[in-house]
Amino acid sequence: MKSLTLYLKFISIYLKCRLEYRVAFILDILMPIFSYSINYLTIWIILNRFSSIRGWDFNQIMFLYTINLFSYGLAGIIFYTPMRSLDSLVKKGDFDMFLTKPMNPFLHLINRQFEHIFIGHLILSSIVFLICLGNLNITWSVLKVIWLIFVLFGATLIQGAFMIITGSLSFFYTNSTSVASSILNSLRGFIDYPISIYNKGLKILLTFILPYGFISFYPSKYFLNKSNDEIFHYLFQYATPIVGILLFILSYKVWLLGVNNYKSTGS
Amino acid sequence: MIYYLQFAKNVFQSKLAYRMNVFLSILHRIASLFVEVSIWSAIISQTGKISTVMGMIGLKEMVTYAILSTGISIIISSNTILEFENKIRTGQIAMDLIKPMKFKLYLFFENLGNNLFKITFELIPVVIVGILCFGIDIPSKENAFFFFLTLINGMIIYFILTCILGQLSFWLLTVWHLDKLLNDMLKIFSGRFIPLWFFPKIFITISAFLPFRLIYFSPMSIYLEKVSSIEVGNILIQQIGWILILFIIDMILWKKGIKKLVVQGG
Repeated sequence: MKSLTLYLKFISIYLKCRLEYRVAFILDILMPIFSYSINYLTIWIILNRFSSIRGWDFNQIMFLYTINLFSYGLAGIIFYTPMRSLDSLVKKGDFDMFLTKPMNPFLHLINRQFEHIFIGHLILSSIVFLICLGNLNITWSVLKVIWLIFVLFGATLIQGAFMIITGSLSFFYTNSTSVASSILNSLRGFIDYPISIYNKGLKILLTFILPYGFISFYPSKYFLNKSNDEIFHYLFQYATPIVGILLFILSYKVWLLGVNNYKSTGS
Repeated sequence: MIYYLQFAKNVFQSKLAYRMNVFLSILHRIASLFVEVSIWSAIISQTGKISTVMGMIGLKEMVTYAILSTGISIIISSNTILEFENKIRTGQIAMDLIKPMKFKLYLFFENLGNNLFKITFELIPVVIVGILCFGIDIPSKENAFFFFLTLINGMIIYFILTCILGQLSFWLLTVWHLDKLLNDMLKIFSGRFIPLWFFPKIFITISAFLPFRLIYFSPMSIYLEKVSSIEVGNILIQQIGWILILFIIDMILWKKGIKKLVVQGG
């Protein structure tokens, strides 16, 4: 609770500082909106020409993509910049600062930086989501809405966990985060489309080793009433929140391992 | 000329220091190639051959297209724009200007070193994996020659474009937005992911007025033997025309920018 109020305080300071440069602030938010609109456009071009991929039509793929984008945005606001900054903190030895404060270094690092750029992701994905809803025949019930919130929560934890793990890599390898995060981006590319289009090996990879499939693919199957033609159990549709929590715990363990491995450069 | 080559060598060697990065970027490229190939095989396996304005397109051709375009994106990507921004903002450009060298040539050769590095440690592994896993079409000798020729022209177009955008940091505070913008435009109008023959009409018209398709799509369509020899000539003329136009814009911006440049301290 205490760290939550602290977080809100940090955010308000951050926003005040950023809003000094209003034009830059707005551009920062517009940029991802434009960028991801282009991604939506590429999906549209393909689906406009071919009408469906393995039984998934345009709106269904948009739904899939939107869960991915929304959870990525939410996780990005909280975890992206702190984890990216870890690289230089470790290299310069500035990470000492976090170890000497009377606060959990993990919480402190995350509290300290917030990333407004990802607000753009949230805005765009919310808009697309609303458009999608009009075109998809999902009969909504209270239970389904609550489940959607749980799914988004789980998906955000999965996205966040991957950011934490790649960020923690900089405790072991210098200069690795930027490349690691571009790998994450390309992995995220895997789930732009339903993972049923991939071969068996990739399906196993995206389910058990890098469980990206749980971010959008498996939960979408539930919402869109897709028949289970996969090699995996149908219960996977409901697993997102559990996978999210487990993966997040794992990522925190990796972080702790990294902190223990940290040796200050002493400057 | 020899000492410009030294810049290329420096970049090559400094990149070699981070082995983990090399390994990770190969993984990254291969992962995205797999995505592209899987999408095309999912689409084409359900319809068989697809008829387009540029003839019938089969799966093997689309796989070749994906491998080639991944390859081009490897050798083309650079951080010229951000380097410009960084040098101008920190004032380091003043130091570079008083050295007895041409600044643009220096950037070009740095890029070259970067490219040579990426060709050895990213392009070759990715192409080998691509060929082993999916197979690739081989063009006739003549088409291969024109493919490389237009590819080099495309790279020059891209380099000048990044120089132009980078130089805008003489006037703007940050240009990383422009860097992203360029990549987004390339993503859609160059045919990087989706070949222009699958585009709706309006997008084909728009892309005809932009130079981006000359970087990716045109060389690849020559490789895949989708264009007649008259059109090859047409592509070459367009490329040279764009190079000239962009080069003139670049020169004007550079002259004005240097005059405007004020470096504080340093």
